Amino acid sequence: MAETYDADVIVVGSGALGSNAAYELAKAGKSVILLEAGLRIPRWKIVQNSRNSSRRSDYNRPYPDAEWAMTTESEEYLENTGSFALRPGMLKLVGGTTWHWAAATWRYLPADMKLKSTYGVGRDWPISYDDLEPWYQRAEEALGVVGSDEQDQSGQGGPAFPPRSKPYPLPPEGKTYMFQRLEARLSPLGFNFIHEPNARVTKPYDGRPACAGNNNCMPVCPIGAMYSGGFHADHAEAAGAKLLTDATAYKLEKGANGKIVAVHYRTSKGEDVRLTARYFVVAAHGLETPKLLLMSDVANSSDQVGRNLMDHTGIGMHFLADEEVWGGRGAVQQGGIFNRRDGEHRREYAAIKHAIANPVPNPEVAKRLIDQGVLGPELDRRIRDEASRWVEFSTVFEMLPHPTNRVQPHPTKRDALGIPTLTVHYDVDDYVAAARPHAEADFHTFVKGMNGQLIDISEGWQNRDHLMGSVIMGADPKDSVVDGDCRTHDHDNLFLATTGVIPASGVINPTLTGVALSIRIADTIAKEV
Amino acid sequence: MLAGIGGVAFLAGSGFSVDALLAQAQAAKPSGAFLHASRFVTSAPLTDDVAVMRAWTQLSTLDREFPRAAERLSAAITSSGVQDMAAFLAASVSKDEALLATARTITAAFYLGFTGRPPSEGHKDTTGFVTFTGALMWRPTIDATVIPTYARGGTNFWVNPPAGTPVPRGPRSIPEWQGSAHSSNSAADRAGKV
Ligand SMILES: Cc1cc2nc3c(=O)[nH]c(=O)nc-3n(C[C@H](O)[C@H](O)[C@H](O)COP(=O)(O)OP(=O)(O)OC[C@H]3O[C@@H](n4cnc5c(N)ncnc54)[C@H](O)[C@@H]3O)c2cc1C
Ligand code: SF4
Repeated sequence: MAETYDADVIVVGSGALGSNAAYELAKAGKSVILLEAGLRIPRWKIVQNSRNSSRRSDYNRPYPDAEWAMTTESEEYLENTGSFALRPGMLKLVGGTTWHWAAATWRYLPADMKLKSTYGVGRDWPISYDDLEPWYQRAEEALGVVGSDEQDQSGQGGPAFPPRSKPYPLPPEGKTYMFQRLEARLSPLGFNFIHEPNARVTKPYDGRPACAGNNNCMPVCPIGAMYSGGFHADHAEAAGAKLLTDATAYKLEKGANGKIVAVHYRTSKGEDVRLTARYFVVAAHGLETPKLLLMSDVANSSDQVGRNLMDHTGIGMHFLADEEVWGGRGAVQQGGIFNRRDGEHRREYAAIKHAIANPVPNPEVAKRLIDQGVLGPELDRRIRDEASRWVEFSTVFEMLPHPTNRVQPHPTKRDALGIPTLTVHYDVDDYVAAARPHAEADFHTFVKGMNGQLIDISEGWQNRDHLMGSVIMGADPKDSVVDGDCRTHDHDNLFLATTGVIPASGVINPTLTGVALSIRIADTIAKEV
Repeated sequence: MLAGIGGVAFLAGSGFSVDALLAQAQAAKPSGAFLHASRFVTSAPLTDDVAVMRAWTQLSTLDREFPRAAERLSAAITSSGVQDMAAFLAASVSKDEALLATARTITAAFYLGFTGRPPSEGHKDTTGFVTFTGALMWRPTIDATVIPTYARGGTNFWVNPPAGTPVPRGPRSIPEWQGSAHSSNSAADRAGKV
């Protein structure tokens, strides 16, 4: 008798990656169940919470942080044991963490994906840029990416690069005045300014309105011009997928022949449910995905699950330019300086990306002035003057994968469901440390070029919320968790849709690549189911 | 909400229950002295009674001495006879550090729109919401930048500087992305002919 299943495919996690995979599979006629630990929350409520927050710089604040679906907002949720407190922003609700991302949607460079063979450090991906290119295109169409087709995104000042099979789905937004002024004065010094492709649409697209410059992308776009995973959770449902909220997966059940046979989830009321399927996709975020695998003793014959954790560890800088540049008009970030994104220096030190941040600067400017004791009418005058000249750079470094940087289920702590919380061990490596003086030298040149006044360069290191490496992709089952198709080496019917598969971090934000890989996973599964 | 003010750890060991303090503060309307001092130091009418109430409740809860400090500041303003904050700051009374500290606390609450200090690390804090759109920090640039979440222009309004921005030597606004070198560094621009 033929076996019966609850679904052809179960996808765990309704973030951008899980929802895109679920949508593609449902569209291909497969029966799909999408499990989501959190709830569905309407946009207006999040916007309201964001306006009413006493800590608007904390992007998690407007979102739920339930004891049964904890986020990094809870101190109890994540214990750091290394020298750096890796505490990335993350959310648990339908749509996942892209509710409060900044929607930068870059492609990796061919050399990023062959780091070891090109520069002798880190690891190679088992697939090449050309292998992934068609799915990059589909991911860009799914997310509504705006971009310039004419720039060398490697930052080396050459012709358009990397190669594309089709133009970007949407034209880029106009350059902010601040960007124009920085570019006009710093590019003669040799700095290559590159437009940042992003998923904030410039024309109505897929039910979303054009970006109007609300300048609130992080923590929430009030009008939905910016992409978030919730759009594809909705699309997946409309295409026939069954979305179950308040459903935290806590165990993958192993069967015969290295197959996964079921997933177990628990609700906030303590109900336990077992669901079976032919195929499973775990898309539960870069830290929660390895946790689920480790709790289930699954996919870990290499002992690499949870290891090789990378973030784009960063630093930042503020200065006042000598002219009015008026940051804060448009979206919260736009592009940046990419000279050190690629090149021979990567043999010695990390690639570097300098992004120009563009939030309305008044909160930071006003706080700084009040702390300095400026009061009365002088305060208003100085806020206007400094806000008009305020420039912020947010810089990231390329991290290398180290097995000692790892996430694990906490040995003793449990959440309200009785499920382990997380422990993370993270040390910033010498490769990044060696890059820092070069980034700081650039900072000083930027300030000089704008005849500016340096306010600060951050001390220590900063989180950048880009999780990679934790279920690392590779050709060799002995030192990696998934193969080039994101299929676990140990289980034929278990795929991982997470930025955690990325084996070489480069300096670009990883989510577009994650979505491209997820759509590719869906195509692979659709052929086999 | 208590969690919003985050006062539990802060007040631990003070011998006071946070709930009792909050109830006490909530029962009392903002003192006349607080309102007077707040309007004076911010030069703003502060007509949003709910925001004023929030600021008062939270500041009095965070610091039990605050109501007395506000009274001192209000009395000092009155007795100095000065008409506005600029004159106050120029007068000898402003040498009093304690008075200035109270003025700063009040200014921070109404300019930044929250009370308390966010910690540099960790997620628990003493901050409390006062107002968002009413935060006075937006006021000096309201013609130029939006209060986030409230867009005013259409797509690409940001290509041009706000009205009145001095024209710098350099390129005109260029809305297209055509590669950095030629888009904003034309020979004409470099010659400063714009
Ligand atoms: C402030 C900020 C800015 C960012 N900006 C950018 C950017 O500009 N560009 C970029 O590329 N990236 C950016 N990122 C990173 C980006 O948000 C993530 O890479 C992306 O959200 C990953 O998507 P995901 O689907 O893998 O995970 P998530 O979006 O986190 O979704 C995972 C989902 O799974 C659910 N889940 C977790 N565990 C379980 C479980 N056990 N059972 C059931 N469901 C579960 C969660 O509730 C969640 O909804 C940013 C991140 C932050 C915090
Ligand atoms: S700038 Fe505003 S409208 Fe545009 S994406 Fe960001 S929040 Fe949305």
